[in-house]
Amino acid sequence: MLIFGVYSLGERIHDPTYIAANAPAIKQAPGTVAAGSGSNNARLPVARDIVSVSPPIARARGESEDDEYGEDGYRDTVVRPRIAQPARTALAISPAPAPVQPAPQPASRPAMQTATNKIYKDGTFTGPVVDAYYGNVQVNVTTKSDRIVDVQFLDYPHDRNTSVYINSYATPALRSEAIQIQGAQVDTVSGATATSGGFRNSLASALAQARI
Amino acid sequence: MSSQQFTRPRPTSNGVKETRSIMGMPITVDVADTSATTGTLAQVFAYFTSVDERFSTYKKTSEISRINRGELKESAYSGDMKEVFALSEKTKKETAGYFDIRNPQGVLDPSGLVKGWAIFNAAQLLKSHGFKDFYIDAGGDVQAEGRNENGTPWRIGIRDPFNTEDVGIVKIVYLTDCGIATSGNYFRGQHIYNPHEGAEPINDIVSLSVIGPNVYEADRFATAAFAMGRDGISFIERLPGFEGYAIDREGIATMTSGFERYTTYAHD
Repeated sequence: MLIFGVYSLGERIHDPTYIAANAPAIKQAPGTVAAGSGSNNARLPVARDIVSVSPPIARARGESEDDEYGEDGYRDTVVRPRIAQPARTALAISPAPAPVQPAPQPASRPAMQTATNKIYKDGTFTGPVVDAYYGNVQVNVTTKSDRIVDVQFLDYPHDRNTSVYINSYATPALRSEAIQIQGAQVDTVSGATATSGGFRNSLASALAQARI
Repeated sequence: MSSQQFTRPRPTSNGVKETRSIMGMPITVDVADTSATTGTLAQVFAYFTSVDERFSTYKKTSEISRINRGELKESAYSGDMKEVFALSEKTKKETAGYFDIRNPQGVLDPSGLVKGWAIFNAAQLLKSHGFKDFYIDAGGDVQAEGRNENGTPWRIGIRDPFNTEDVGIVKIVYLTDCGIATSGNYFRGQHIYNPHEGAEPINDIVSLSVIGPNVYEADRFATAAFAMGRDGISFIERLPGFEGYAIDREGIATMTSGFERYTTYAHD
């Protein structure tokens, strides 16, 4: 069974250490040497943690914050990186919007919250600047009714030697680089082959048609 | 670097190594354990041959060909065939249909899963005989166990997708006790289709390498993620325990956020 991410935005926050105001977990890759001077390999605080597998519901231009809540009172996720603005479309009212990109499973709706002992204040909170190895990351998180309802990147890595492509699907920016030919010795090579099934089948079909 | 040659079994500084062509691709087994013999290798290759005889859609007498011709009823399927079909169904569900062994022509072809599955089984065979340091490379999918003859993790090069004449390398990863699979379409003829768009070719991403806990897992998700085009690397990012390196047709690579743990290793 697969587990996609840990939290969806809109899901009740169970982990009080999640809020970015607390120090995110330090990710130390085994056997690696940290590049740069004295920086920790701090983990991007939002990578993998707040992944929604349903696409973000964008607001129509001019709609207010309150309009973001669907009829059941829960808001779906919007992750707004600093430079790319999500496409504005009409607010979808239906409970399960059709994904425009392939989604392994639609996120199930969290149960209606009935507890009255709130854990988190409503509002927007700014996390510390975290050294994420390729650059700094800083986020704002907005909570309402003990749910994370928005996350905004105030800063994210954009090294001058790499282009950063922003995925439109609520995943934080992944690092990119121009490929470079390596000259070092290897034990073996991983690469695609021309002999996988589809190719062979289509070749076989073509040959069958070519038969006299 | 010259292209792989099919080799006679030969001793390396420790252990043995050999390459044979089976299942339509070069298969290399390199066992660094000093107790390994050419007989060890022969056993592994015999296993791959048996897999080919069962699953090759190129062989008229294979079980899969007989199934595709309707000559075999389901109750008569072999245990291995049932297992592969069950794993294919599971993978199809987990990838929202992006992994599908039934091609647009309606033919069942489980080779996208069989390759990794067979390598994984062959590795288990070696482990059951007590071997700890080896890799098995079948058509560019690799299961790497332990360390190489120099005592370092196995050094796996990711192939340059733009050089089809020779083998060029664009990235090196250091692997121990895990697997890597690369899906791509840089040879002539698209060999992976997108099941959600019929016979349309995928050409945004030309190569997607996935590192996972073993080559079977890496292979099935690499196949599915590649069919997702540019979204595939995001799919791998969201998959705990897997890392990926996707190369687009402009030569820009995108990597998952944990990928770089594999691009270096601690020197003793």
